[in-house]
Amino acid sequence: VSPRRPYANGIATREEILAIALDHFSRGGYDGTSVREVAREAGLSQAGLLYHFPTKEDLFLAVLRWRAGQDLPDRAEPVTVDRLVEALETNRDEPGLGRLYLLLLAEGAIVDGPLHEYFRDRYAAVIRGLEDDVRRAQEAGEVSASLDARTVASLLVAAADGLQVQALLDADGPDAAARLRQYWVQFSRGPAASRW
Amino acid sequence: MSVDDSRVRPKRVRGAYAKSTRTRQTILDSALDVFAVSGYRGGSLRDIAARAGISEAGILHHFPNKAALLEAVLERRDELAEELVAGDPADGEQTLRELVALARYNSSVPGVVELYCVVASEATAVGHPAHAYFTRRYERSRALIVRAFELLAAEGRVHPGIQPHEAAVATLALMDGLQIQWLLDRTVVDMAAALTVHFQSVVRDFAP
Repeated sequence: VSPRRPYANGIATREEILAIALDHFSRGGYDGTSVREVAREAGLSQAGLLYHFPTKEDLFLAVLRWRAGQDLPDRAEPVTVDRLVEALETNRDEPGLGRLYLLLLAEGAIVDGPLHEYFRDRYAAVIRGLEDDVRRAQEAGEVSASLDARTVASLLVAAADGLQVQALLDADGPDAAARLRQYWVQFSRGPAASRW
Repeated sequence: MSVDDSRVRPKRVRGAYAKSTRTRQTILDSALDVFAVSGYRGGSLRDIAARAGISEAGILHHFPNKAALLEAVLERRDELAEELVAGDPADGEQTLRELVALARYNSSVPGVVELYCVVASEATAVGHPAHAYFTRRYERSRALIVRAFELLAAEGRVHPGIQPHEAAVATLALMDGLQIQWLLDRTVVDMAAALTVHFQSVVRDFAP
């Protein structure tokens, strides 16, 4: 009936605030999200929320980090091609989240932007993980050994990001997750390589 | 005289229109220069006005808001890019080479690449003013690349199992994604080299 206010009797935990903020950001985007609304839903005053997250940008960044932590529960576990495809499937099923991610990523690409360092480090780690996965596939004879593993890893991540942009621009557009898997097959030799 | 009127009036209109078009172009080229140097955040209306030699109000006369200006700047960027990729459309390999050259050119204008990445991601929202523009833009670019791969496939140059349409979708995606990676760390990503590796994985004996 009324908007959910599960924390009206107490103060939401940090995690609960982040969950509420994620919900708002994925529905309304960055500009469409009101910090006041997030605070209200969390049972906090705006000042109370700002105590934890001094600016909207801080809140945004915290949501992203938290979400990334959820996606990769074990940070020690390396990113593989399969994990990358799974991430695209999640974004496909939650288009608001996928769009939020792309908006954040573009912000991160801006050299003097607040998210730049975060995304630079994250991408370095993701590409490093994929590079190992590519090398493993090369050792298993699934992928041509003549290819530079790092470049292939970089191309896979690039394809993942770009395919999501196209999928969001065109509702009948490509299923980014399926296309990424096909793209990976392109690098493989043998019977698996014969169908795209 | 009526004959004179009919000849003079359109001419005057054409003159005013041509001047307006020139001013518009000057603004857009100035904006591209400013974004290229100062980046997406650093590029202010004031800098663009100063470079174009007109007032900020003059710019707002041509472009009512920032979104309109940014979209027009990207259209202008596309026009310039199309000059780079304007070789023989019947030569598929040449088209791909030109895309590699475009990636190399983009490495020289990071601020413009920033602008493109930000506006493209924002335009993924259905109600965004540039949504339709980007959708059309992708269709156009995709058609160009599909044709290049089809021509190469007809020559038996495309690796078995790869379909021109799928390869074109992947190519566009890569070009976007590589721009992001390059912006994140320019020391580790070479967009032109990575794109070349991609084309070699699609086209037999592709020579950049």
